[in-house]
Amino acid sequence: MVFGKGMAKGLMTVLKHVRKPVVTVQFPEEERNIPPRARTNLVWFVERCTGCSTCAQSCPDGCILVDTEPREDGSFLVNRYEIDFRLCMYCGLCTEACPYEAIQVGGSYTNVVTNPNHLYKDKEDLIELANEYLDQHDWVYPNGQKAVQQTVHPSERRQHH
Amino acid sequence: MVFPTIDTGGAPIPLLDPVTDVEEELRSQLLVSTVDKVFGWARRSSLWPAMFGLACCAIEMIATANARYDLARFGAEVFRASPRQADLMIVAGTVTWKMAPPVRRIYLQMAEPKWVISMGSCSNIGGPFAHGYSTLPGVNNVVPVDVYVPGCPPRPESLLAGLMLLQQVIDDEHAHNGRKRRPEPTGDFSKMLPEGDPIRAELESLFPPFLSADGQPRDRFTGALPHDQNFYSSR
Ligand code: SF4
Ligand code: SF4
Ligand code: SF4
Repeated sequence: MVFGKGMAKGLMTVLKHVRKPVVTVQFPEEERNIPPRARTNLVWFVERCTGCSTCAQSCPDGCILVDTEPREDGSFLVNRYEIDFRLCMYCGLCTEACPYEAIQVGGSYTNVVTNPNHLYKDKEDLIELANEYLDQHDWVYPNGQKAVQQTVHPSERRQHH
Repeated sequence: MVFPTIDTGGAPIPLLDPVTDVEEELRSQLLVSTVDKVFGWARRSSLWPAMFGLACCAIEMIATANARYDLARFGAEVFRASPRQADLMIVAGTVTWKMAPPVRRIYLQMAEPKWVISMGSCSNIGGPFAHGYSTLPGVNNVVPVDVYVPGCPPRPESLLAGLMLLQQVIDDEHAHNGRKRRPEPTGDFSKMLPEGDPIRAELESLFPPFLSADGQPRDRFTGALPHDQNFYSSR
């Protein structure tokens, strides 16, 4: 039994960690690379969406609303597409269900609010968020496919179809 | 100081507004506004959260306090086990009806000024359990919420962003004469719980005028029932 053995042991542990690199991520200035399918916000791309509502049917919370109208050629015009991010649990089931990968995970995760109703996003909000995402990511979708730059205002483009 | 009184069936209790209101002209004077600014700086730089993990979101809250995200950089590292020592309540997780009265009571027990962050879809609006029978549809039904952090669970970065937004909110408060802009809950649970429900009775007793189910006045700030006056004299 040596007096101060425990203390020496403790100091050794501290000294061992002194030489290790700092693990803290200085969050607002630097951001950690997050895995591609992490549970972040959903991004919906209107130019990929056909209005089939598979996403809305697969959502366990029922927080997606799709309202469509048939065009002459048999395709659908998406009148309303709304996601309630107050309720959404970021499970990604809608992204797995979507046959055209029009809704994908990978959006922002710092959209904190003081009024919860601002978390309800309608079609215009979602288009704005998607354009913001594409702008920041070099016009590449979260799944790695390249976006066509002319799809900035796809809602207008499709109406002259 | 005038103490307005309300009649509580023969037992008047003094009521004092928790936020002391200084007159408008006095507020705009240089000294008071400068002191306010210093207070605001001190308050937003040393937010001490109450330990309040209710469900899975608490794990992310703990991760935020760990070395990698380090909540201590924002002066908020001291998670207090006692509401008396805390001024921020991070409601992290599912608030069930059974848990709602304790949430309200802990909020009342915290000292003014106090703020609330609702973390995760569950406390925002009920989240995955929103259509269930057992979950409170949003913690803003029992406590006033300043900042909502979406996510299930929110990433530690999201909680840090929420904390930074709360710091801005506190700064704004001091720019707006200490007025909080968050809506207070009404304390009306008639649309959610049936008449005679014990949890509804307990929740309603924690809202003004703070009367317990048998008509006893509760302490306005702590929700506690008064001591039995005969307790000491009888022994
Ligand atoms: S992530 Fe889950 S909860 Fe959110 S919209 Fe998609 S399916 Fe619904
Ligand atoms: S499943 Fe995909 S394509 Fe179909 S409505 Fe939803 S987002 Fe659009
Ligand atoms: S929001 Fe999601 S992670 Fe947070 S407590 Fe609710 S179910 Fe758990």
